[in-house]
Amino acid sequence: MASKIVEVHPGIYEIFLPLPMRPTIINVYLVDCHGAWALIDTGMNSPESIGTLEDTFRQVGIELEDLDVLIATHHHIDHFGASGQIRSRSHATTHIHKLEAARADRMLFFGRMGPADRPESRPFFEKHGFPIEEHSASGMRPAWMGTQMYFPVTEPDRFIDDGDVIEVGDRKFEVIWTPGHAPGHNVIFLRKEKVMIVGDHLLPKITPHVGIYPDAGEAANPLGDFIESQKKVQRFDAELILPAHGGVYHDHRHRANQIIEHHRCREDEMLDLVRGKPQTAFEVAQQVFGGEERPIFHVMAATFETLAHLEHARIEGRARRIERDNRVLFQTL
Amino acid sequence: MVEKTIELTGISANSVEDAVQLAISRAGVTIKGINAAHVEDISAIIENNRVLRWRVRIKATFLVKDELHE
Repeated sequence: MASKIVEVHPGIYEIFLPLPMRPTIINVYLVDCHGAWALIDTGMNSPESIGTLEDTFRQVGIELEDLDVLIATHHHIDHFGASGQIRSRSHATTHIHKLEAARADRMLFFGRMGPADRPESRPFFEKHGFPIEEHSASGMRPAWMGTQMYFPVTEPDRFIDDGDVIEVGDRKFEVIWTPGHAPGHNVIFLRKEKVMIVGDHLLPKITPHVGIYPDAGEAANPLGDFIESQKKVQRFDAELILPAHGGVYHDHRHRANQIIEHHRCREDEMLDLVRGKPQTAFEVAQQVFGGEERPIFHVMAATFETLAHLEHARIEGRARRIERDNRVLFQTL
Repeated sequence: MVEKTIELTGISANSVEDAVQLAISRAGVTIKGINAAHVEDISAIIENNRVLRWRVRIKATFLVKDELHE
């Protein structure tokens, strides 16, 4: 069986943890700070993932309980889902951005709600053309919501923000705030080592979901934030890029520019569709992402990713928004 | 010098030119130096007696560059 832990830089270990969904693996990073240990991201709180963490920690001579510091790139289940268990066992000082801690708390709250849908989001779905009436509330939720697989810390020991430096032993973890995929997403940079732990921000083969959700607020422009964050990371000199999914790589500037181009092309495709014919985000998503039979959760994500592109185009003056019969339509200018 | 040619189909709701541009832009995300596109075929998708989409099949050509190992 292939090893689940690889030393990718002296004292920096990549650990491959299993996920029950695609992508099927998340990479978390264990850092020997010479006198202390830090972990960046946690995996999910499943027996398989926790077992893999325990086994791999032992391969470098420590127990899970020996961990000193935990740093999260963002609150999503594959990144922060096991933080509650890990902190309760290790008492590791836990760091996450304030916006992400609030979202983790809200995910737990939604998980505890009954089968009735989140009432405040129904008008949002409807106005963007999503056929919410056809889908039950349970079908709109990821399968793990409300289960023990998501066991996040909601009151971290320290909120982190752009420019913070977390000193652990002889290591310095710099926080680079990279909103887009999540509003409080952070990249963790080890300047001396020229190592960048990028979470989901700079994946080598796939691009992370960027969407506008009901709680985003009217001024939200997550795609604009994401593109700015892709430009921002290019100001840092890194030689080794450690992503949460996919293999380690070297040229983050090249990849960041590719990701920017990818979204520009996708936006062009969407604007092509609404040039002569105003449409809702849902209608455009059905054409760009395909209308074939898919889990409704994916259809929702496609709709809200489309909305992020169309809103970005509107803010940059390439599209306009038309409100008609309680529907929001977009049209190319 | 060696050039490589790939086949793409661009689809636009507006025009043949837009269909070509969308295909070239998308290919350009991962392929650098596309220098020519030859239109192989043009077709239209029709719905209710109206053109719904232009489908343009093209062959796009780019120079194969040697990469130096650093």
